[in-house]
Amino acid sequence: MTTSDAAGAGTAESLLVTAEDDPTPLVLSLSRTVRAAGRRPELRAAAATLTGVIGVRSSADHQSATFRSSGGRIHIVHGVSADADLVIGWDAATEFELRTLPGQDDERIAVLTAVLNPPLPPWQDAATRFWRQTGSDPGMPGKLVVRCTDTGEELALGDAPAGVILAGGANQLARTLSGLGNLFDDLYAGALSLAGTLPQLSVLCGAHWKVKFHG
Amino acid sequence: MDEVRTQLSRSEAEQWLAEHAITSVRVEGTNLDGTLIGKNVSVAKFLSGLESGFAFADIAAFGLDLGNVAYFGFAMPPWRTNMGDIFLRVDTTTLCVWEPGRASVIGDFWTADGKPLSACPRHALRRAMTGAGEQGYGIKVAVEMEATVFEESLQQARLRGYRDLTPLGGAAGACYVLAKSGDWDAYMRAVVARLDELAIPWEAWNDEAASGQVELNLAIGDPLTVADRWVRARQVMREVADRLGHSVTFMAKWCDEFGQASHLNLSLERDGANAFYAPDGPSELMTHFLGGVMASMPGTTSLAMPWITSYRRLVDLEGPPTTVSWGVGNKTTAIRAVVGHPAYSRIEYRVPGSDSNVYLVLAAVIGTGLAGVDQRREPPPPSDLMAWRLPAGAERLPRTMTTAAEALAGDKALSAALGQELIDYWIGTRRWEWLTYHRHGGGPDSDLTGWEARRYFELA
Repeated sequence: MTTSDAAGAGTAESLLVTAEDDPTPLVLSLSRTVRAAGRRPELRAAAATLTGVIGVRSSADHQSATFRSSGGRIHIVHGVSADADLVIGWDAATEFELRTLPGQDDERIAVLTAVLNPPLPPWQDAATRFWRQTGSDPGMPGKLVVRCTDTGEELALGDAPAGVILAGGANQLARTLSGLGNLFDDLYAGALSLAGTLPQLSVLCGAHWKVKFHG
Repeated sequence: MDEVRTQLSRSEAEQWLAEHAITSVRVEGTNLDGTLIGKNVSVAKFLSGLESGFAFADIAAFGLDLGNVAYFGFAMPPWRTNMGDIFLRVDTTTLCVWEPGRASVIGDFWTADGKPLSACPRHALRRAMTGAGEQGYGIKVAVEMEATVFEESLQQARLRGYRDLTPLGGAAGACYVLAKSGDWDAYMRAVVARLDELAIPWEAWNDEAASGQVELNLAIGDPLTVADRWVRARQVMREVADRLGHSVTFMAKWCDEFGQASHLNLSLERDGANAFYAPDGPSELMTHFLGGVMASMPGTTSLAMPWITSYRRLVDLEGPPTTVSWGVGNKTTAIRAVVGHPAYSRIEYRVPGSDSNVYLVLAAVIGTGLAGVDQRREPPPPSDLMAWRLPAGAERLPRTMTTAAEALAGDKALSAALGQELIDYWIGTRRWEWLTYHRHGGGPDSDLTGWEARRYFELA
């Protein structure tokens, strides 16, 4: 567990994303997502326009967070603050499709929707980035073969003679390897498959969380 | 009932079992989460497994959380495979008659290739004791146990989701109250009667501060023996509660009343004399031991407060320590030093919750204390103030599972004392617990959740 996203961890000159100390998983995940959006100039510019105090509340469970935004600075904390001037629902299953109430037409909703749903990279790019961030971590297999079941294409990461194979559709691979969802749940549900050992599954779950929360 | 006190050969064990008309043996061990796990085996199976040990699936023994879901998300040690076997080798010095026809014996976990299992807390404590012995010290410890007992049976408690229960003995009173209803007295008398049957020496029991709360003090002894007695005493308290139609929990806090702890009292001895004793305060040895324990207190908190609920106990002015502090005779600090007495000079480590694993916390305290002795480490100044609600600047104990785990991850003395594999395994499982709580339980500001009650009431 870490308390990443400390003050000063900005993604660009015009956007600074910070999180509270000892952040919750949702705060970490939101911070990572906004930072990912900040790597795209148009979304970075959009995020920098956000102002005010915006709460987001899960429609499926108790998880919630608040964005405090001003002048290109976004600070994210857990819970919906009492002074939030806009509260939006979000769907935990999609991370982070927002669900507005009838009549909610605040223009910030569109901005936040875009910022929290940056376009997914091609699965190959997501896999390469995933491996770069986690491949040398303790316990990681020496080789990760990512196989796209839509096309049969494979990408081998790492130079060990043997490793694990992670297979799935292109969109699913892009989501998972970008830190969305939950690798174990996706395997359990059959959206992904893995040729590896239980210990390798464990460490890959941890690698996924690393990308999800700190990528 | 009889308790064996020396290691038995196969023929001696066979004879002992026959003499006591034993038809089955419960082989037991404590996993990293502090849960007593085991199997009931026939006499023939027991005798055949005396040397080889008894197989347990690695994931079932050390890989399931208290919600019965596999821990994932971290690098596994080499002994974790595709649900391969690990082995419980029994320590026949702990063999005893648990009840007519059934014996009980405690053991340690070993890998399939015959190495001590790195995450086995009993091994960790044994290593700490060996370290002390190599430095020429013996160790004496005593454990205080707190628990809350309810009028309702466990079955009734389950039906209610472990909420809205009725504390046994009524809600009136404060602490040490003797005017309790007879059912409360009957429960504790039945508990100590069972302890007597099992040759588990106890010193005292009394009403504790919260409604339905009891404190039981086990007698002083060497760390391994006392830890074995602790885990058995918990089992006794659960079995007696069940027999009398009640339920009991060791959750650190089950409601908004005062929480419950498991204070550890510890001293070193040399040549049979208390080495913490000096006429005018802590001995030099005790001072350095304190220095080591204090330096690692933030990291040890992760072990002493293992669950989400554990941290709910850390409320200023409610009894538990909240700061990294020690003082002579000061029970508001994290360590109370008892000094100036030839027999009773000791530290009382007041951080652990009643939900902590005594094997593990003792190993951590002993290991870091001995490191302090080795390094002649000086502790911070003692506090003679109330160590709650101090002005800014006082170092507080970690307030959450995450911050405690971070402190543990950065503590080299604890890694050396417990082994890096155990530390990594522990931190991995705590991260899993934190994530699971946030996905299914509650948030940082939630009051005690039903998720916690369902997860911890019976097993913590």
